Amino acid sequence: MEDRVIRIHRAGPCALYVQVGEEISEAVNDEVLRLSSAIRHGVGQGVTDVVPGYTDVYVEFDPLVWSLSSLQDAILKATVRFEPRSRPRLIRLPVRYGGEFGPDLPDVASLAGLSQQEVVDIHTAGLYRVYFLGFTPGFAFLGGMDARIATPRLARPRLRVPGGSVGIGGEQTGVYPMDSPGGWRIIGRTRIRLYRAGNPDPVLLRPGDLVRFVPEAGAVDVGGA
Amino acid sequence: MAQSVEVLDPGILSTVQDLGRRGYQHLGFSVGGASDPRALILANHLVGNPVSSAGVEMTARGPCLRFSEVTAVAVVGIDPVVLLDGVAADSAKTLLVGPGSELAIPSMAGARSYLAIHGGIDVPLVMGSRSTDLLAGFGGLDGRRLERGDRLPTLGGAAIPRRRRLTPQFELRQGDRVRVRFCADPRYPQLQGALAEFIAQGWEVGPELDRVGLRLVGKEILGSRDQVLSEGQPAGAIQLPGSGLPIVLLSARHTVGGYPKLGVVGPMGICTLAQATPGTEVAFELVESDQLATEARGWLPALERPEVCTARVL
Repeated sequence: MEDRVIRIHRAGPCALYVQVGEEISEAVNDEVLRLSSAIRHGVGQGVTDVVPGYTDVYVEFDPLVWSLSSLQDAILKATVRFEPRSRPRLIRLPVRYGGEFGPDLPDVASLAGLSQQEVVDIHTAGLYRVYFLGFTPGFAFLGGMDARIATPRLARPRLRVPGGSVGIGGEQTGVYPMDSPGGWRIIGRTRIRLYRAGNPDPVLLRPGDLVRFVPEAGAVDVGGA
Repeated sequence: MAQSVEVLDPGILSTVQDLGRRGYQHLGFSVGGASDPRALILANHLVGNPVSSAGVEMTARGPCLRFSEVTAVAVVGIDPVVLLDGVAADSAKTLLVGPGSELAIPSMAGARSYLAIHGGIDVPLVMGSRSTDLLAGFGGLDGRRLERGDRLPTLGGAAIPRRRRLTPQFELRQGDRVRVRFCADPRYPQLQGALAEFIAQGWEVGPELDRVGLRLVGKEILGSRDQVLSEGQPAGAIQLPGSGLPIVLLSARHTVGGYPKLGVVGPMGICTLAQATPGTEVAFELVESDQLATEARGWLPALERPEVCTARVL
């Protein structure tokens, strides 16, 4: 495995960043996820949160247990021997595209110079990687969308986007896990729940998972294009 | 008989909070908990609760509650007005209430006050915490603010504690101008200019009281402020969005953010800012990160030492 230099930066008195790289890439994020799991399992007590991002791992700690330098040493020690990451899971999300479930599909199509069916075909052909979760419970930052269907966010965000909505925001695509305000263009909706509060396993997607959107049979409404 | 506390009037924004939900940020769950944890800890102290017991965070105008059994309660904030059966009572002091007693907190000088009830509020633990997550809609009372007619269950049991009053040094006070300490984020050398602009001026607390973050109003910072890749964010992070007006993240912050950070406010500064009402002037003092590390190690044990409260029969 290629050696990467990791750098540790303080983020205030109770947190730090373990920086792996500068650019978004699967290789950098692989390392981020491996480091996250090594820190979570190898450092343990006094580390309250380990949050992977695109290129860094954010770590919150109890300042009564760790000083920055003692934690830095413990992290470096824990990450010498990276745990092998488990094989990525493939999660298929059935989506009803267009119509009442995807009110912005016509706009996405016209902005991209494609038909609605072509947008759906391109969106469902992609294999998307979950880089990390955040913002709201269960919200997955996905990579891998075809640039042909990239569309700017809405100038005026909606006050309420229904949970399960599948959207495109710039070069990103994703699923809103719950009703929330949102500025992405909504092209469809999945009935699979990505988030259940109080469940022992409260969210469906995990960092490193692969996601495929599957058009729900007979539900694609691309009429009137 | 189990204590049940009836909500006669919910106040403006009252929620059940403890010290927050840790260990789930990687799944997108906000830490949350009391915006001013210091005030909740002190209130819990006054009624003999562990520091992590759940209480009620009250914003600007608190609720009116009716108790069904004898118990001890305490209200801690910045000069909250406390009425027990319509008669003025002290804050920062253990109060005994009886069956039918009505407790109201009609106003306060700070932004938030905390009510602790002996035994703590007994809503279900969700992922290790009783805190209400208003955005995700879970925790506390069904993930929402208190409403008229709600009943707050409490974990009663142990004997009513001796009555106590906070020593003056732990009574919360702050004027129209506050000063908070922060350390810079070393990863953004391109923000040096912005940092200088940030320190050079006094800021004013914006009009909204939001558990997610405190918006500052002043002269827009013009220095470089590129977007950065989304990453985890500590409480107290001073974000610089495109508007040039900084936002200081509080306990109910989102787990990740993509704005560059000017720095991070220490734990005492977070408590100060959580109490700052709209229009309060804030000056930010840049200190070495080691100083904030010392502060972070010291503030919680200081609050947990029993001698913070003068134990005496009143």
